[in-house]
Amino acid sequence: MTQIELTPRRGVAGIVFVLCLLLGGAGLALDLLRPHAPAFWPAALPGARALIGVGGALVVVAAMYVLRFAFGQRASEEGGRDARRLP
Amino acid sequence: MLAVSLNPGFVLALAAFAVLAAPQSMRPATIAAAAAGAMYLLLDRDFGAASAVAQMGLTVVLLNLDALSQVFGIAFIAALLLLALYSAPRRSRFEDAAILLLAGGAVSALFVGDLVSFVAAASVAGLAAVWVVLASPLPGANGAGVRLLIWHGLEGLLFLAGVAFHLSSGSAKNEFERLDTASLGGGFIFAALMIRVGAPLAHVWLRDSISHASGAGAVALSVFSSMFGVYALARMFPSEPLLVPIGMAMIVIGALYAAAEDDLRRAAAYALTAQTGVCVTLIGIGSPVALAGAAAHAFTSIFAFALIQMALGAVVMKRGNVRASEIEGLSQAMPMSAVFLALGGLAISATPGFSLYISHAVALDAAAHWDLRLIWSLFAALPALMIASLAIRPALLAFRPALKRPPFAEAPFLMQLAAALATFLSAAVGFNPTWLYRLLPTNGLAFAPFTLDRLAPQLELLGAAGAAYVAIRAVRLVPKERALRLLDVDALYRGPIAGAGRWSGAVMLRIYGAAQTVVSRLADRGRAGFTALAQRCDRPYADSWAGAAQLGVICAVLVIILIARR
Repeated sequence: MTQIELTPRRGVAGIVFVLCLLLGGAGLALDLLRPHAPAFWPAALPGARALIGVGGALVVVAAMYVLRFAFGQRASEEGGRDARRLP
Repeated sequence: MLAVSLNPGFVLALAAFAVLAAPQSMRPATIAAAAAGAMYLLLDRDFGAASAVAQMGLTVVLLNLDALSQVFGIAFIAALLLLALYSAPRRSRFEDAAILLLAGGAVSALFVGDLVSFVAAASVAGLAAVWVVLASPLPGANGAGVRLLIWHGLEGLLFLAGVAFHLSSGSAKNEFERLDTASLGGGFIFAALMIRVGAPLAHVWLRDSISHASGAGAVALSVFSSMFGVYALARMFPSEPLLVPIGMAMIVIGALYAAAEDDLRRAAAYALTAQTGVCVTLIGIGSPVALAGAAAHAFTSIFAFALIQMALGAVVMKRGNVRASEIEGLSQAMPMSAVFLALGGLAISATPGFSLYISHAVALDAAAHWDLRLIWSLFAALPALMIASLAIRPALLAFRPALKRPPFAEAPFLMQLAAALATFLSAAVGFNPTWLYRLLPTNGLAFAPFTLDRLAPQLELLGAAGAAYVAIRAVRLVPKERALRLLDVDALYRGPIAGAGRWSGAVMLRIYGAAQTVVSRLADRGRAGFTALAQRCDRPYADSWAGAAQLGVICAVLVIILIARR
């Protein structure tokens, strides 16, 4: 028998995405429109923070893959290799 | 008016003993009253040292107030007031006393004016931190407490050796002053402080202890441990170039591990390491703005991390853990805690409106030079990593309805109230930054964080990072959350080194057992031989050869006596 899913399982991803887009868009627009002083470094140029932000999100995802692959251990193994009393 | 010259930390330490004897209903009130008394002593006094006493040729200054100690003191004591509220619903006499003693040690260390008293107070704080972990009801807390004891024992030894070398170097100066890492004494004290702030290779103790402490214990450890190290570095090693790479490494390690950890309390502890790294780097830069920024960043981090640890601790109290892989549907069972978790994530991401933003803006300004461009880039990128890993990621999971409503209820009201007050404090300082800037050591800081050239890029950064993370998640490129733990440097001493120790112990036991068997057999044989000889001596004429031998010996003795008498 097919089990019917009764509880709506919609999360808040859509709302969060729209909010972030609005926030980022407003910030980018204000950043590009404001009068500029000479930047000391290209990453400080107007609009560069958006790229840094996107790069940050990519780094987070990459860190999740790489660190979990290289150093991940099942949670049940917590303390499994600690020194303990011998039987 | 009566001027009281008492170190505010002593009030907290004395109250810890009162809490041990107080009934449960009186304990939160005792903690709050002690914190209020300490705050009064702190704010009622003018800057300067109280009278010093001489002990064993050393000048001991038990109270010395200045702008740096004041700004840290206000943050510590205000956080303790929040903790008094937060810890009220649960019953743990020993943990309450441990938290108060930890606060007392840390606050005492802020206000003493000499090295020996500082080391003593720091050691009390370290031991109390161990007690906080040992008092936790969570599984694995005893092991984590012992590991923390080893770390703080090592730190205490380094402190003591450093002070001894410093005093014996001829300067014979016991008062606080800038120390040199090139000197033996300064080097040892610097190494001890590297443990305290959680520098790379020593950063694991913070994550280990926070993830095994109870909710209130984790808040206390977040507030009173590594940030106290930041104060000591700002006091003793300002403008130390070595601090710049160390702080940068802390930022990188903390941010990456915070992104990948499944246990959100560990992730928050790594995030604390990253934000502590910002403070350490700023102290290393050493300009007046950078030093003021370090103090401000420590102040704001204290409230931001207290908030997120309060939200996470409430979940731990109800369900035993707070793993990203298991918090789906959290908002159905604990809606307020889920909201505070999201707000805490935003607070530690330097979102405008929260206090960390106003210190992060100062940090960016202090590093805005061509020769510091890599530091500036790290500072600029950190909020993007924080918002993706500790604000958006848990919020998306917590607010996603589960198929079945989780079978646990919302956290007690007082815990929610404490988290709400932490949010309020964080937002109040975030919207009124001049209050904090006036307290900073550089005779106040004239800084405007809400100008367009500072606010717009930060909004742009956070918005872009959040939208990018949600988009990547929507196309299912974000790895699925799984219950796992990440190995770190402690995997070495908890893994191969612990294994080697265990097996070498087993081998030594086997060798000892074999040696015992050999000795026992030899003893048995010797005993049998001597018994046989004794029996033969008891019956001298039973065997012809034994009787003849005895007769021969007696004759020989008689001959010797006769010869000797002649």
